[in-house]
Amino acid sequence: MFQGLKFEPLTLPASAEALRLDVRAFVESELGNDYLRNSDFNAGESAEFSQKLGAKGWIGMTWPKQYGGAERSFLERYVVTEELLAAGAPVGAHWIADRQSGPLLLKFGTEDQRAAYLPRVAKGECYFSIGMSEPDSGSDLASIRTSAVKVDGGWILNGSKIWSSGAHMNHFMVALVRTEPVTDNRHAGLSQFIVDLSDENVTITGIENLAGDRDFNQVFFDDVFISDDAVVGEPGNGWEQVISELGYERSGPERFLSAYRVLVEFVREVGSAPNDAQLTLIGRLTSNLITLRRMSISVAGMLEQGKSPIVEAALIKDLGNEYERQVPELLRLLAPEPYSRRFAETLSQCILHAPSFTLRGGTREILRGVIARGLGLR
Amino acid sequence: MNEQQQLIVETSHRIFSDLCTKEVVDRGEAGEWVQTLWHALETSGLTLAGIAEDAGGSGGDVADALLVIRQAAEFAAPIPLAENFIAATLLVEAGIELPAGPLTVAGALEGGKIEFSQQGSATDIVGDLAPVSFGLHCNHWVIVAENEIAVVSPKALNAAPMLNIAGESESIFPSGTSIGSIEALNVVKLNGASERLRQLGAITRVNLMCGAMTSILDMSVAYALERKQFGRAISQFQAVQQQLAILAGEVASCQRAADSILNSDAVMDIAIAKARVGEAVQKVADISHQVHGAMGYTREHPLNLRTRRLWVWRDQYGKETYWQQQLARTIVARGADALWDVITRAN
Repeated sequence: MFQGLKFEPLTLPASAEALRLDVRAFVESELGNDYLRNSDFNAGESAEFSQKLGAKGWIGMTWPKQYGGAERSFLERYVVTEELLAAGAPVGAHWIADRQSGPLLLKFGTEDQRAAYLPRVAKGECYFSIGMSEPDSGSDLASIRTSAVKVDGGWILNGSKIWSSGAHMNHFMVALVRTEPVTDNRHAGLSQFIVDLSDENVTITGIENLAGDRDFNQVFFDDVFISDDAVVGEPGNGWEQVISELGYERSGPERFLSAYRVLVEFVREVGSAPNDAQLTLIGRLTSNLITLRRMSISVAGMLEQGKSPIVEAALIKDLGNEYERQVPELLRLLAPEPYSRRFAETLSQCILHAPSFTLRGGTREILRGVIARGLGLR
Repeated sequence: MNEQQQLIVETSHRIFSDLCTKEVVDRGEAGEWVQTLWHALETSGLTLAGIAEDAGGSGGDVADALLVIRQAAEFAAPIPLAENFIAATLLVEAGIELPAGPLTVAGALEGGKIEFSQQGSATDIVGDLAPVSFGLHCNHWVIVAENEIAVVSPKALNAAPMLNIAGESESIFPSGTSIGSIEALNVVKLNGASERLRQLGAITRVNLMCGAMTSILDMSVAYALERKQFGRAISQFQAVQQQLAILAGEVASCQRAADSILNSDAVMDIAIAKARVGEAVQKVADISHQVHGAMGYTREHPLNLRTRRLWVWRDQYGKETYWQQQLARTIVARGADALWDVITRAN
């Protein structure tokens, strides 16, 4: 009997539920009524908001106190992130640093790196970008060509990274680069560098997305000097380190809440007199959402236990992305017309960004490949 | 799962592996009562798991019963294990002594009504009774009206036997005909009986579907690894891998949804589970049959024993639409700004 994918039921502890109420009250007082809420984690950023969260102790909250963390559990962190997303708070500035760059440094970084970066991240003052994809390397990440050669005291980096969200506003990038020539083992000889995005040899060019937003970038490295103390972990260990980020990157509530505000506004639109079809759809989307959330909390429990649930995370991301792709498509068909401005705006923003849901953080095809491997098919 | 449940799962798994082969299921679907299987479960106390000991059951939690029911569905067992559990639960709740032998249960057809109408010392059962699963094989039926239940001997009723598409015998009552007459004192008050039946029915259908789906995923993965085309196992083809990944996602979702009602009979949890699991049946049947090719479309292959049952169970005790609307009514009553609170309370 196949026993691989098990999502153990887990009830959030009372401490997490108490924290939820604090976060809810904070968000309500911060955002106000005229704020157009968007639950896509990438939809809004505010350094001011991130710093306020930092002051509350809600960034880097699972990290040791000596690095500015709050030593709280993954389940408590889960509650904070889902409350922020559901409320449509502008979390984009610190999101990547909190979710994966920080945990990466905590796990693989040197003592100096932890001390240098983590407290600033936790304060909501220091933001990171992901540096994985390149113009010719997307899903096939091991084919990257950005490379560095060893020099005295460090490395000289050349090449470029693409689709780096917020690189024009963030301070650092963790870039995966080739530090040894390609061999038969494509995953060998890769390393992760912390690149200072303000370096004069780094050029950042914005790429407009189809919604007209300047979100992602191409980042060029032109003989950028990376000192030895900016190498994350061991040179050559980059692949393993990148893979270890995936459990964090793929299993969280941001993988199924991107379209959530459209559902909220739909419920507002139908008011107290929905027809049967509208009721059916609300029930369908909510039963799916609650089930996804329960599975995602199960994975937070695995992370809390120190496990590395790569396949489970891929499964949540795939199911969650399919779900958030469907939400605006199904709701638009049954929303009462004429739409309110608020509903129309929420819906159209979601539809414009929806193609990215099943691309960012691993395409659906890659995720299904990971799941298939978990099933023993490949 | 606690230790007790681990033991229950292992014991029932062994019994079903030994005694619920394809040949046994085929005999059950041909209308035979598979006594050896029932007897083995009964003597192990598994037919009355989750029923209080002082009422004549085996004790333990509702979850114990549901885990046995999941196992039964993994093997497509042609026995009224779920019906027996529901009937026994209702009888215990109404303070009626459990009769011996397998029990079944039925209430009103969807949208219909059942009433017990007293006529002197007799009671007429009137209304539209839902098909009685395994009615032919059970000497005692529990018939459920809105706020009353009765234990009835089917000999007193005017049922016609038929088979549903799961190959389960059902006793039906053509619309407009009288159901039958029983002794008046057999009717016992049980407030909210029909609603309770619907909930227990949904809880058991969810676990039945979950069991069948678990088995379907196993079978599909195994078949893809063993079936060769174009000189290699079809599991090597990305198109097949991607479909099986979707299947695994659906099954994992259903397992999680079903787990959430092992220890909760909150109506909202039931609604979420029945809605989510029922919705998954279409994809699960679609992908598993596609992977199995024409072989899986034959009566001979065991896949259809599971998929035919899924197609029946998803309709029983409220389709997805019914439960989706139930859930949505709670949401709409609280309004858009409370939606998140509803979601986060469904822990």
